[in-house]
Amino acid sequence: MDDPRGHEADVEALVERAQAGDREALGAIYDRLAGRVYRFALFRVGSRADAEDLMQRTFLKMIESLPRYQRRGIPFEAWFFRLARNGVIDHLRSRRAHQPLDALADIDSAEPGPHEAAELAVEFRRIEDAMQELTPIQQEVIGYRFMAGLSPREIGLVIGKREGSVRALQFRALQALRRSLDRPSDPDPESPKAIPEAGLEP
Amino acid sequence: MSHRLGSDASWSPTDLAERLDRYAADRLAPDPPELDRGRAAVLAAFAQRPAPSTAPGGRRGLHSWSLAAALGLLVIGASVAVAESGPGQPFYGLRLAIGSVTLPGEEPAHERGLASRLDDRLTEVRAAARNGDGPGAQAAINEYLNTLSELTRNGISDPDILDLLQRHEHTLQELLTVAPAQATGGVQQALDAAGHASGVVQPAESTAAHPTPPQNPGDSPPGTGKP
Repeated sequence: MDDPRGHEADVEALVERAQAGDREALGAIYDRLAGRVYRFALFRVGSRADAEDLMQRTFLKMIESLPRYQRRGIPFEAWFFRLARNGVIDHLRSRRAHQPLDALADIDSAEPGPHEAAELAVEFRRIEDAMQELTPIQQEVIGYRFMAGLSPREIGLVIGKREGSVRALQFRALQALRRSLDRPSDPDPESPKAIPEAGLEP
Repeated sequence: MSHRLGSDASWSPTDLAERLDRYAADRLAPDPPELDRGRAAVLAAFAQRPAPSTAPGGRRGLHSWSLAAALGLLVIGASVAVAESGPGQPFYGLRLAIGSVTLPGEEPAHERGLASRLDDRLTEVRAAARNGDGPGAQAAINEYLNTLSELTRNGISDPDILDLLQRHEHTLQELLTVAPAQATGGVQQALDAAGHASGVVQPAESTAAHPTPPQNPGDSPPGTGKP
């Protein structure tokens, strides 16, 4: 994002057109946000089927709420990710009550094929292991920053914290991740401990 | 890209940021068909909205949605094969989410629409429990909890809805003894949540003076527009 203000203005212009009923503008908003909200949802809930469902629900909730959206200091993308956050929280709350944790375990749909892909798979598992050692709020901030591509200012608006606090949380989360990743890894990557697909749940 | 990958790689701050980006892009990216399905469903739902109008004071308002909603569900259901999805079946969640788009945007109609949906979900839980359909009961009670959470997010102001929740408490109590094991945790949670919600705002005096006898789900609050 070279020019965040320009980016924001572009998005707000699309939103205004969508509020006026412009289908193409709504499609453009979808194209900008769908991948990001999906990645964020998958990072938080760990299941592709649930992430797809949450992505669609977030957009449908957005359509429902769009007539009431007014900028008033909160950029559209932050507003949109608040909707996504509510959906994820509701989902986790209802799942926590009556589903086994292994329901989380289907992130790994990528087919490990050539050598590099296999190495990447190992690296991704290590990252997921390390994520488990973060606090829930650190995980959330990392999710918004790297999976959803939000700025610290936008993250602050989504989770109700000051930008400086978000930066501090992000800094500490990255430090913790580095510490964890710098430790020698499990020599047997196929051992159950090294395949923590459920590791993304706070 | 010539990253040194694998377990022996060092993790400088720059490396770590790059690798998290790569993790997001490679590991968490949606498949194109997932994006296409979502796009079709979202645009279809958007197309069913009535044309926006300008309400007094310049605020955009909404027309009544009922006819458009019924038509919309038919069209969307035909195009993305969701309309017939019952609890526990593929697209059940999506069908309900599309339904939520058709809720009125303004209060109190919005709140009543949610209450009506809540009642529908409890009917589904009961039907699934009756048929011994564990996954169906579980899916329906999940949706019940989601809808209840949305309904109570800003507090409930309508005494009819509070009555409805009290009736639901009774039904949920019964369901605890007959629901498939998979669903009993959710039923208990729903029972707690409904009890809490119905106690959040005291019903009007006239309502409180005439406690509503327990009834079956499917009894919608007056004015919810349910058939």
